[in-house]
Amino acid sequence: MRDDLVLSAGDRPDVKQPASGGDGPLLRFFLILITWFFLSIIVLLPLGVVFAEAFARGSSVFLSSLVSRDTLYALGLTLTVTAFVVPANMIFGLSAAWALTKFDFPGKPILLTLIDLPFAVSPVVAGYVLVLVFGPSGWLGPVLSELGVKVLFSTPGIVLATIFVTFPMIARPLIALMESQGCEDEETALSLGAGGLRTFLTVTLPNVRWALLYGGLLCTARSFGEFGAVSVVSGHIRGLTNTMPLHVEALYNDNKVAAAFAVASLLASLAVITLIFKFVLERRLPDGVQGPERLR
Amino acid sequence: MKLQLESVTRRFGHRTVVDQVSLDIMSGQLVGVLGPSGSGKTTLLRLIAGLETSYEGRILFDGLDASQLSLQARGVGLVFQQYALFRHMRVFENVAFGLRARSGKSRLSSVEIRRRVNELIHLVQLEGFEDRFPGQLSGGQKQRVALARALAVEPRLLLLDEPFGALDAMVRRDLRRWLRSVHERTGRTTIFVTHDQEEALELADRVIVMNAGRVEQDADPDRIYDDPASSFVFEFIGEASRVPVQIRDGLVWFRDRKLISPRVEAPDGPAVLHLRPEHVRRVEGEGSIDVSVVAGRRIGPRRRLGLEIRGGFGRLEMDADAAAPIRIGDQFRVEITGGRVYAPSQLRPPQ
Amino acid sequence: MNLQASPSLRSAGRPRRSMPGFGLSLGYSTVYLSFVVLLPMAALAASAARLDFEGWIKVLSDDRVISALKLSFGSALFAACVNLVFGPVCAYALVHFRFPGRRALDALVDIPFALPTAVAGIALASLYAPSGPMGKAILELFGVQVGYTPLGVTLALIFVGLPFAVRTLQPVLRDLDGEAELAAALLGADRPRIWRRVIIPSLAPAMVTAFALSFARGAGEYGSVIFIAGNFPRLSEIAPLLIIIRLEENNYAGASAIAVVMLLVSLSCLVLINLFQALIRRRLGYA
Repeated sequence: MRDDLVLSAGDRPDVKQPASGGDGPLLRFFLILITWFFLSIIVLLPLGVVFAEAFARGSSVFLSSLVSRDTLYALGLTLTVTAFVVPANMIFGLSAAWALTKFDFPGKPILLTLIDLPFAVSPVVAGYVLVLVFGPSGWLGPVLSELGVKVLFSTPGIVLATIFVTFPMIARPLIALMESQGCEDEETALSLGAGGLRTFLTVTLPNVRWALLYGGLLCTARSFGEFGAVSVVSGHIRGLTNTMPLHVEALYNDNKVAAAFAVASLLASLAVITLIFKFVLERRLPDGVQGPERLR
Repeated sequence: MKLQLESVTRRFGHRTVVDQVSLDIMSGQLVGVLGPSGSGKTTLLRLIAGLETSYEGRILFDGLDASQLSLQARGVGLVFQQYALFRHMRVFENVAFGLRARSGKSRLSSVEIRRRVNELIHLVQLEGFEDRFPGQLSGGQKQRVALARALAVEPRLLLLDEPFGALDAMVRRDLRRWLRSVHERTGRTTIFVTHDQEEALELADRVIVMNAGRVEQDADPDRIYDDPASSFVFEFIGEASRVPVQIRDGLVWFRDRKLISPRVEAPDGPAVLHLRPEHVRRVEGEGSIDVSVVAGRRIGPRRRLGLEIRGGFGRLEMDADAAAPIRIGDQFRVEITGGRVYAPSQLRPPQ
Repeated sequence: MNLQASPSLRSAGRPRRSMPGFGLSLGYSTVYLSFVVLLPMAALAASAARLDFEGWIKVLSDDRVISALKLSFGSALFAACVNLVFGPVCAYALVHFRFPGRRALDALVDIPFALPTAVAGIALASLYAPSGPMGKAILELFGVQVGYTPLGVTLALIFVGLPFAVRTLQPVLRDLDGEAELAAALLGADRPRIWRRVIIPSLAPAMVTAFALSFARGAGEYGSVIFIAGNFPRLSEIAPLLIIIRLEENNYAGASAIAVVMLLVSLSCLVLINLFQALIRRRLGYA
């Protein structure tokens, strides 16, 4: 009996290797071929065409469309929106994760469901419901316009729409990570005499910093690229409420295809850079925290 | 510091996790809280630490109601089973954390902090590891950092939750001895929780055995082993066999034979005799039980035999010389030299 | 900003907690969520409630609305099915085999998630439009027009749903890697048997999730679709676009009705997977 065990342990040089080495070479070749083919057609080709079209009319057209006044304005607006959205969502994410993972209280599932809700809502619907609230005949629209605050067709509306679509991207990984880390670090710090704020800043925040950065990265990428929700609330006023993606749409619809793709290639490059950072960050996070759109 | 618990009860919904626990723990004691998982021992520790704040009854620190004390003001040193070391801080910073968190008058100069931390690092024998991160330490080393960190703030009370639970057997034995010596040097009131009876008996001055949220027995290790207060304690501490017996006039009968057994408080009628292996001895002649050997396993220098009482009356265990020529299937007679019969109020359903 | 709960909150009769910051963190989160999510959703509900039964019937029996909903849900369903076939194949190959370009392909899977939808939209449109290189080739080879037809919409939704399908399955396949398969092989199971009895059953719960996520996301998708769809009413006009059109016509009742239908379908989709996953967890015995 014992001898058998020793022998079999020595006889398995491929223990570490996936057992699917057992798939025949033909099946293996076939599966790899399908993967290559499918991903190339569906993903690689569209990504490639963005850059190809961007330079199709030469680099001077490319450059001039990037530095045009409208493009620069759209870039500025997009950056402004992102600068509001990401910090706001980070503070919310930390706050929600603290409340949800450090305490038990009735209504917790409701709060979690509300945080998941944006994943179930079409971006267009997200924009539309904001119109219902802030539009001229909406709940808050008339009151706010009395006060001289313009939400719809201006930056605040775009910020709100982007927040709606992106806030779970930061809150979700934070909640997952803090849930898995438990409360013992904080309990230890408190028992050592540290106050609540000190505990949060010196213990909790460093513990979740990668998840916060990860969520922030995804949120930034989405803020740059959000189209549907922003499209509904922005009013498409060129040089005023056009974000980068809206600017791409406007250029494309004006038949300025090369210019549209030039701006699009900038966004696509940002997406690729985002993915590289995402890949790096994911190595620092435990399984189950990554994947912002994965369900509980 | 003197710690008193007065009928402390903690419920989670309908479940009573800690049930009417009253304790007096004297200054300088090293107390082990022993129980199976789910017995409420960790919750008890968390209540004392102030991590659980809703309970009935009273917890007194030196006579002062602890519900008035914030977690920070309790002066409790905590060590968790998984150590809860701050991963992003080096060993030195971990140990210094509590000292640096002080404010106002009690604040120490950085020179003083350095001196105190170095002292503690020396105490836990981690010189040279000050600049390591917790991820670069072994389990035993992490455990010692956690202890140094807890001791740094000179807690009035040191609480350890399964302090050796995550370590392998060798390290565990070494650390147990070492913790004992640290306790002797610092003299701090210490309570630790464990599910390992050997650990509790070896390390503690006083053992509190818990079962289903209640204290089953609270005594020194000798009493716990020699005079278990209930069938639960008997079976939880060490090896136990159960033999069905009859009680007549305070005497213990096995079928038609009277067993040699000490005092019995149980009423007349059927009962259960609890035995340890050392209470069973092989004999020739009268007043004994017929058994056959059904199993044997080696335990240290001895061999523990599994015996079946002939006629299907249950099983016993006894210890024999490892060299004794006994085989499975052998039949002989044994005599009972000890054991306990518990009154119904001391009986617990078998584990 | 101090995270300690204020003393007045503490004495309000709530059980006291050892961890500070309950009032502040819960309060802030609730206010934020109320403002960002609850208020707009309530506005939608109120707007939809203004429609009576006949109003609903009238809005939803409009054949332009019907065909838009059919197109959005139908093509999302079809795209989810396609991803359910190719997603597992890609996930399996990426997890199990070492081959040239594997890492690059693995990274590519996230592109639809990271690429702004409008960028993807114009890229797909210029590729698959009847005048585009792919569109032209397919038209000539198979006589099928992709751009500006429901087929184009479906293609865009396959693109959108791909990361959900692959990324949901990969961790499961990775966990499966080795031990269970090895155990099955040591027990004498041949490859087809291992596939049938070990790999596919372990994947099934994740596949349901992948399908539902891919479908829910696809049904509401706007940016990647509108350029390739061509947006011909009753042929290739998707439901989200119709909401925008109704809004531009100031027809709030019509827009709200479509929005509510879309919301309900995707919500029930997500609720169903949550229930399903809870069921699976209970059956497999981990809480």
